[in-house]
Amino acid sequence: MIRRFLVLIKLCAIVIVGLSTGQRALHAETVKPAPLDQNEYLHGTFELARYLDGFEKPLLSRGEFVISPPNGLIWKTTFPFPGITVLEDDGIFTITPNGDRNAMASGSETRQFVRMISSVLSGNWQTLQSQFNIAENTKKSNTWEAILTPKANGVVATQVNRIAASGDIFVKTVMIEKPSSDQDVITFDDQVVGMLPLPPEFAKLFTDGIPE
Amino acid sequence: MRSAFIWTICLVVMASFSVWQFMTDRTELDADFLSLIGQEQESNQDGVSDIDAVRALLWENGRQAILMLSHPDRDQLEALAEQLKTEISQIDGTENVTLPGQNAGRLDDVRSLYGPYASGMLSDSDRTALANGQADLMYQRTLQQLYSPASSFTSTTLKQDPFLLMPEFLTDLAAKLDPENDIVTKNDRSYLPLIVSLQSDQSGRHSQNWVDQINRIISDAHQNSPELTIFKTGQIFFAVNEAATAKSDVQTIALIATLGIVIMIGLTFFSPLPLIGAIVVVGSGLIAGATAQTAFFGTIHAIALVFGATMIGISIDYALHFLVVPRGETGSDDRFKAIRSGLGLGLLTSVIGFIALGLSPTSLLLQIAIYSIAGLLSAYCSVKFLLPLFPAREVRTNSPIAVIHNNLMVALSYLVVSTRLRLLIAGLLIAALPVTAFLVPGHDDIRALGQSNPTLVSDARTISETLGLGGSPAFIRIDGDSAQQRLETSEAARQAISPLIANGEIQGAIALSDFVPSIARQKANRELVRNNLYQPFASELGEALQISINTPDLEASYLIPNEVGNTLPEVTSLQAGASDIIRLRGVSDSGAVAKILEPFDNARLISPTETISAQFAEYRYWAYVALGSVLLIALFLASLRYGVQKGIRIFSAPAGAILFALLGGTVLGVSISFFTTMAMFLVFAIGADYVLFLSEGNEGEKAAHTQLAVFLSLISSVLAFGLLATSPIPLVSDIGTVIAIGLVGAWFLAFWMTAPTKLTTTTGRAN
Repeated sequence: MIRRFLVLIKLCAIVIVGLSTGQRALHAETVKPAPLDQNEYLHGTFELARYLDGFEKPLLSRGEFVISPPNGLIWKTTFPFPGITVLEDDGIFTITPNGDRNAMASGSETRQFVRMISSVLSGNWQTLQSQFNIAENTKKSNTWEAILTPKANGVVATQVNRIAASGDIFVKTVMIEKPSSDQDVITFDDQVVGMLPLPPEFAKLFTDGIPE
Repeated sequence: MRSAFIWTICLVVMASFSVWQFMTDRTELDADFLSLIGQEQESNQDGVSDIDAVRALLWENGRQAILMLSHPDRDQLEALAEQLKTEISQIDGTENVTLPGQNAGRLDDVRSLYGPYASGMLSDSDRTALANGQADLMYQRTLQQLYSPASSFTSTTLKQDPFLLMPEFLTDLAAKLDPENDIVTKNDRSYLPLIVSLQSDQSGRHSQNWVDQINRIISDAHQNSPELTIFKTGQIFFAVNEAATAKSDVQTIALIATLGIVIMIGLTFFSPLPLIGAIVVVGSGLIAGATAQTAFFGTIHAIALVFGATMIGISIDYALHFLVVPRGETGSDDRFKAIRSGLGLGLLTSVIGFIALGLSPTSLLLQIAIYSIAGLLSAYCSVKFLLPLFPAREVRTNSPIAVIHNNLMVALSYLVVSTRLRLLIAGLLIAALPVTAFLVPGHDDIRALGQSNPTLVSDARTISETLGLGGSPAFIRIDGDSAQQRLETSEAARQAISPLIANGEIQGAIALSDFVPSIARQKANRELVRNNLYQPFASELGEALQISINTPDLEASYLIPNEVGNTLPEVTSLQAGASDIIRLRGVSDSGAVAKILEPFDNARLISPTETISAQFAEYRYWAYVALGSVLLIALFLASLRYGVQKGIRIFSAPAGAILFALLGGTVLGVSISFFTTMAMFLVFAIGADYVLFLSEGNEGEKAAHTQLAVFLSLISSVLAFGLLATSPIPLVSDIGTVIAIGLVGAWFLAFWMTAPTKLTTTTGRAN
């Protein structure tokens, strides 16, 4: 049952990761995303505004993220409280400020999730198309937007009503509307593609990263 | 003639009914041991017996089949598993198929269930952390999860559970419930469990079809991907395999026994007519037996079918007893009159014996008893109504069987001693029987009764060792006056066995109290959460969330077991009547578990195998009592008919036959189980037939005919029952051995106890 927790994680990360790769696609003057190479990583900052039904203000957090195709995703929150979530092949972990590593999820479904990320990174949208109806619209000035609607009767449909993403040379915003009337709005900035190896402060966060 | 016509019509109707029952699947074949026991058990004061709890547990396990797929490439393995899932889902009888990571999500329902009680639901680690003063770490975790992209809370659950305790509780619960259902990699191969839930009405032909389809799919999958290996386990595979083995045994035994009897009759009469007469009698017995079984039972057990085949050996006795009687002065009626008293008394005694058998506490023996009683009554009617229509054929004095019999009688005649001495020996035999029965040790372990397919056993072991799935289940039964008392006991017992889980002596456990903590535990949790988490951190968290956080109310309602059944149907398997059960996986040292539970008055370890074996031991004890009762009735009836002294001699034949069967079986290494004990009822019934035939037809030339008839009966019975001893199924083999020994003993004692001091053979030679 706990595996269903992963659905939202997937959606968020897939959209973040997948659409972030749009930079290279647009450079090539095509709407189709090109994948990060196995020796590349993407680094950027984010702002996550979590609008909860019945709460006066959204839960606002900021931080930075790193995507590395061979390793996974690091979500490092710096405001209002420090915290790190690592999503990789072996599972999903939180890392406490004092360095403790706590497993949030593991197993086949987590692996599937990481595989989905990889599919997106490699420009294979079919993984998402099996679960979403995707409507893409390229606008003038190299901007675009995409609407992802979960297919009926899928597991995703019980957790998400609609996902809207938009950007220019990078993904700029992702909005996730949930059946609970809650809504997450994620804004990305400062994305940069770098060459592996990862900087040590990020590499050490992955299970098979550089030890401290 | 009119009676014969009516009886023929009856047989035709019965045969039509049986065929209709089988053809329309109204009657099916079952080979599952579980169906043999416990159905008739009365509930004890707790509302449910151990055996009922075992039955419920095994029944539930029986609805699950496990396939373990193995391949060097994990991606290919997962793709192949998806294909297999699709194919298996389409088989008639499959309820659903589960692959790792595809467990149907029920998160919303579960959150709705636990949400209102979240402050009382703590994972083991959170409870320990709070008790050890580590609330600050839990608060940090809460903050981290609030802003993590991987957190799953909603506005609703956050209001109910602002410190996000419930996800930890659910993760803990999921780990206890389903820890092994995942892909594992060992020695460069990946292993994937594919779990199939079967529809509840799987039995007989449906099970056979399902297993056939699975085997075909496995074979095709292996052909398409030679590197794919598939192991399988589940009760359905074992049951179908043993049913097929039993069926094959029956066909072989019946064929050989029939051929032997045909040859025997041919060599006695040199005419096909007696053979046809015997077939008519045997056939009518089989028809009536099958009709009775199909009329009374929806499912016939395979072992009952095996016994049905052996009915040939009993019902042919009546035919032979008639056929050896020479043509009378006034026709065929005289022939029946000549044997009527012996045949009638034999039938009466057998029916009494089989009625006692039918009163036994297993449906299997009830099936056999009904089959036997109906079959024998039908055979008697056929002898009376149909055989007189057949032209009489005399026994050829020069036939090989007659010659062998005469020589045997001459040889045996030297063994005949004075009536007084035989009376003394009869007394000794009768006295020795209860003593021997008391002294011979019983072996009631059900694992020794069946013969499982070695490949299936090997597969089951591999799956258990690789994934920790399958294998023999065990459980802890929790009793108590109230549900809350049981939950508290369950929590204490679970705590007590936790060291065994930690060191691997138990691979895992799941209890109702894991899903629904006792109110005492929920209250203690709430207190812990309120004092150690809410009081120091609620206001700080409230500021971060911009909401006011209410401290948990200790007087608010608590979750109780009745509320969870709809959302979590798993809990139904953790209750048995008014008892709760803790299901254990992979118990390697049941002694250690039992010892840890010793201090508990209301918690005890139950191993299904041991429970069923103990049940059969009780049945065996009961069988001895029933057999003793039947013997006493027979002694009483024999004394009434023949006087005390002759009655004791006559009665000693079946009693001594049972004694020989018991001793001979023990010497040959046969397990004296409940089933072999019940087989002695057959020894009694046939032994009583022999001695009664000989007693009632012991005058002049009639004696020689009767002796020959009994000898022919012995050959036919030993052919049928003795062949059972060759069966690869230990249970069937044991029964066959005991009966064969018993019948030879019965034949000798029947002759010896009824022989006049001066014996005359058919050739006129006097002793």
